[in-house]
Amino acid sequence: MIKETGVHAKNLIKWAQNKDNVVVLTADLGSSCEVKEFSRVFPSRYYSMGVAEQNMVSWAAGMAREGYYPMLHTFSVFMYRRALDQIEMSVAYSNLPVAFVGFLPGLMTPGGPSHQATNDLAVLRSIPNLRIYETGDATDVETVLEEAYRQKGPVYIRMLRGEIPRLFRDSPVNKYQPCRLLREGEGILIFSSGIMTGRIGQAVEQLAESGLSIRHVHISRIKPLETETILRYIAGIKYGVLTVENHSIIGGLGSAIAEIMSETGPSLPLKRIGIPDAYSRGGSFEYQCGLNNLTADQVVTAAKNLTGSNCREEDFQGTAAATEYFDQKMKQVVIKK
Amino acid sequence: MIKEIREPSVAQYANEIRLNALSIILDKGGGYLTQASSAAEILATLFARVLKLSLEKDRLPLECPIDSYVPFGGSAYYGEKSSLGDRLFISPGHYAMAVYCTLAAVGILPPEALEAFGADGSCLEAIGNDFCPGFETNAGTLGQTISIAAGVALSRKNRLDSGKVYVFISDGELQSGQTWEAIQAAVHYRLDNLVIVIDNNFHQVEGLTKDVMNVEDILDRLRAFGADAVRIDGHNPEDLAKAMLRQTPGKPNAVICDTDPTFNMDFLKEYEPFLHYFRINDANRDSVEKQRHLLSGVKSYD
Repeated sequence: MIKETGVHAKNLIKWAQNKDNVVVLTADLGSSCEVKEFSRVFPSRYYSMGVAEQNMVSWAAGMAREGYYPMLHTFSVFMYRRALDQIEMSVAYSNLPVAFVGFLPGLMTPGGPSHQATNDLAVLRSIPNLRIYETGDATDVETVLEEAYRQKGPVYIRMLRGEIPRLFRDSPVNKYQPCRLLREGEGILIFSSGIMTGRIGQAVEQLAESGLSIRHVHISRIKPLETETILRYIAGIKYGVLTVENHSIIGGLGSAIAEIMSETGPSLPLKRIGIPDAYSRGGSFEYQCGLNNLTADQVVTAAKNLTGSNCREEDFQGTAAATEYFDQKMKQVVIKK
Repeated sequence: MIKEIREPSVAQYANEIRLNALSIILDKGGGYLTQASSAAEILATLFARVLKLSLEKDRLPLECPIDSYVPFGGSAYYGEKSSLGDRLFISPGHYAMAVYCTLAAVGILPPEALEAFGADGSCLEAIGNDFCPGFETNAGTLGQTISIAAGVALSRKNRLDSGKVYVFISDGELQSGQTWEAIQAAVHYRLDNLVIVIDNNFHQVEGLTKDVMNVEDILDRLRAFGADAVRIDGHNPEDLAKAMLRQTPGKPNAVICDTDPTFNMDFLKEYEPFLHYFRINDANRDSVEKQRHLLSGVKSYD
C-alpha cells in the first residue's frame, strides 16, 4: 500500500492559492491539523482563535456572512461536542458556507474519549443543511476541498492527517467520489468508510481468495448518502450486508445503511462493525481497534457468518457480542492494573 | 406603504416603542414587555442619533418564506449594506417585540405589520431569527451573536470599511462564557469598529441578575478584558449617543447602559423582581390599558 504524508498541508495551500476568500481559523491546534505551513504562506488568511471553539464557530459565521469561506481546523471532537449549538444556530440554520475540517476521527487519537470523535456522525447527521464527508485516502483528502467549496453551505469533513494511504488513483482525479465500487461480487456486500477501507483491504482479499464473492464499496459522503446508487449495489446480493466504520455503531454509516435498507425493503441481514456503545480507552490506534473489535479478523468472521457457514453464535449477536467482548477486555485491563 | 423615516426624536420614538409594546401584549395576552421598556431609549437613540443606514428603498420586503433557504435576511430592513454604513446586530432573540416596535416607531415597518407579531407563518417571529425584520442572526440562543458580529467587524476591518458594527446584548448574556471569549478575541484583533451595547436592566428570568448569578462589576470586568468601556444611564439619550459614538482606537467600544425595566411602566413595579415575561389577566388588564392611555396622551417630548 502506498503511503503519503502531509497531503492536506500541501494540497490546501495549492488549492487555496487562487481563492482569496478562503481563510483558516484554528483553536490552538493548527500545527496539529496540518495548517502550520498555510499560516506561513498566507499569514493574513490564518486566524488564531485560542482554545475557544464556541466563539470560533460563531465568529466564522460572521466572516461567512461577509463573503469569506472560513475553514475551521481543529480536532473533530472539540468542534461537534464543545460547539454544537453554535454549529447549529450560528451556521447550519442560516445555511452559511463554513467548512468544519475535523481531525482525528473515531479512534485515531491516542488521547482517549476526551479526544475521540466516536459519535460525531450520529450527532451531525441529524443537522439540516449540513453535508458530511469522510476521507479514506490521499485522493479523498485532496478532492474533498473543491467538493465542499462548491456546496456554498456548511460541511463537516472527517479529515486524515500524517501518514495516510493512497488507495484511489482513478480518474478523473480532481473529482470527489461520494461512493466508489472497489470490488465486484454478489455474495457479501461490504460498505466501508474512512480509514477502515484501507485497513480491511487485506481481509477482503483473504475472503475473496477463500472463494467468497465480495462486493466492496467505499462511502466517502455520509450525508446525503447516494441512496439510489447504494440500492443498486445492494440489489442481487446473496447473503448479506456488512458495514465497517471508525465510529460508534449507533448513528454512523451502519445506521444510515440500515435506514435505507429498512425503508426500501431488501430483506438481507445486516451486520454493523464499528465502535461498540461504550467509551474506549486511550492508546495506539492498533490497540484501540483490537479493544473495540474493529479488526480485519472481525470482518472475516462476520462475512463468513453472513454466509451461514462457520457460524459462531456470539458473533451473530452484533452489539451485544461486541459490548461483551469490550467488557471482557476492560476487565482484563483493570485486573492488570 | 412604508412611512418615511421620520424626523428623529429619541423621546418620541421611545414613547412609541412602549406604546406599540403595550398594544401588542394587550392583543396577544402577554409578551416580553419589560425588555421593550428597558431598551426603548437605547434602541430609539441608535436609530435617531447613531446608526448610519441606507434606507432609501421605497418598499422593503415583508413576506417571509417558510422554507429553509431565505433569499433575504432580516437585515434587509436596514437598507443596502455599504462600506460606509453601520450594521446592527441584536443578540437577545426575545427582544424581538422591542425591535419590531422600534422599526414601526421609526417608520421602517408599517404600524399594521405589528398585528402579525407572533402569528403562525409571519416573519415577525416572537424570538428573532435571521430572516426576521431587524435581525441578522438566529438570536434565540444567547451569547452567540456577539461572536458573529465580531467576525463581521473583523471582515469589515480587513476591507477597510468605515462603517461600524453595533451589537446589542443583554446583561444576562454576560453570564455566558462565549460572550467573554468573543470580547477576548475582539480585543485581540483590535476591533475598534465594534460597539458592544449592553442593556443592563438588572433582571433575568429568575429574578435579579445579582441573585441569579452576579455579573458585577461589569465595568471592571470589561476593562480587565481590554475593552474601552463606559457605564451610563441607559435612559438618557445624550449620554447614550455620546457613548455609542465614541472613537476607541485599537479597542472595542463597550457601553454599559444601566436601565430600569419598569421605566415609564409603573404598573410593573408590583411584579418585581420577576419581570422577564408579562402575562395579561383579568386582574391586571385595566392597569395595562391605563398605562397605554397615559403614554398615548404624551404630547411634549422634551
